[in-house]
Amino acid sequence: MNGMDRQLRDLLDAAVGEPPHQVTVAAVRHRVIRRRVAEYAAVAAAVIAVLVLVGIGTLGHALRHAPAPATRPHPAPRIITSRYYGYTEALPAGWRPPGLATQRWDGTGSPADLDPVTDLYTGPGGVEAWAVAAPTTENLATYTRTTIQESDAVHSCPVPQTNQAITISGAPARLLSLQCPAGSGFLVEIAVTVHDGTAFVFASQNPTGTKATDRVAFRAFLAGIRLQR
Amino acid sequence: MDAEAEGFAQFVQARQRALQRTAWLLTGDWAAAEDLVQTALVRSWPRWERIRRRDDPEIYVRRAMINTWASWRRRRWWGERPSEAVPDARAPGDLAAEVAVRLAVHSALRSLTARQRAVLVLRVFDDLSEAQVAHVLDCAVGTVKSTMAQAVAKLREDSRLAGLMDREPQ
Repeated sequence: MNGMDRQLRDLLDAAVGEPPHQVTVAAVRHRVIRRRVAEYAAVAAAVIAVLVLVGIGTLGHALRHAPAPATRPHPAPRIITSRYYGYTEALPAGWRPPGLATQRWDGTGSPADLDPVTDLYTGPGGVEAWAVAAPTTENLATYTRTTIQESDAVHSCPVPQTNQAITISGAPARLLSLQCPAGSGFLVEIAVTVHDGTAFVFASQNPTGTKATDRVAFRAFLAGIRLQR
Repeated sequence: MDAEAEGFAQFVQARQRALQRTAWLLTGDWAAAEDLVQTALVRSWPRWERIRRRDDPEIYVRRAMINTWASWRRRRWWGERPSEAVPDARAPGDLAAEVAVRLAVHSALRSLTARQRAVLVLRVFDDLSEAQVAHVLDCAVGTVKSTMAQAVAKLREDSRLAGLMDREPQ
């Protein structure tokens, strides 16, 4: 730190003074609980709405027909509609959306999980997935190369260990698998597709590394995606 | 309390003051600073174990804080505008010299862009390395260097701040 920086630091220090209140764990916990209650209430409301609809449908069916053989109920998946990015996600079991993007991505850089432009999802075992999308004039192959370059520039991600052809909502896509940063043991998977002039990037990471269950969880997440026409 | 919750509680207790002081330099207001720190901690807590294993927790929380502050600036109707006049009311009991420093610093910080202010506060006040600042702001180290140079150049033009710095003991 040079003399100017030191002087500046002393000035900033003198200007700040002392906070009038402490931030306590109790206050943070209270806000976390409030947030979770709100999330659970929203889920509960959705479940109740679905149950009511199913109940009405079942009642109508029962009144019209003889009783059918008992079937095992399948809970309806929760459908999340992205606020900005033109896709829906039918959340697989164990997944939840802690926060959708609060701003639209401008297509530059390589947004990560906590970036305000990402739709964030958390899954079983700590798997995390996020999604962004932006208009593009590039085709899938070119956009995939761009994504790899941006990941390297922003997050120091190495060349992908695997680069597979998959489909997302029926559209051709590429699934990249990286240990990012190189040798860190953190598995990052990035699925890229280009659909109707929009590039979609779905990424996932899990600090537990290369466990097969992490990959399976992200595949299930990708299977729930529907790109809007 | 399990080990994870205990670790989080210890972190909050140990670092809340420093985080709030950084938040004040960003927001210029203690109530907003407290809210900003709480919001960053609320976002970090559910992933605390992962954050602790993967990263320096404080860097992660500061990153959450900067991102939250940036989104507030874009969304809230009271989004700040650079201004010569500082609207803060003078707190009773403040000494004139303290008030002068506070107003000069506040005014000087308001003249910076959000990114310049964030870089300056993290680099100079929090004493983070250029690489750490780049990590918090999710940008290149070169961007931190150039932004810092721009911020310092702008502050040099501030006559009130320059006057105070001349008076500071070397």
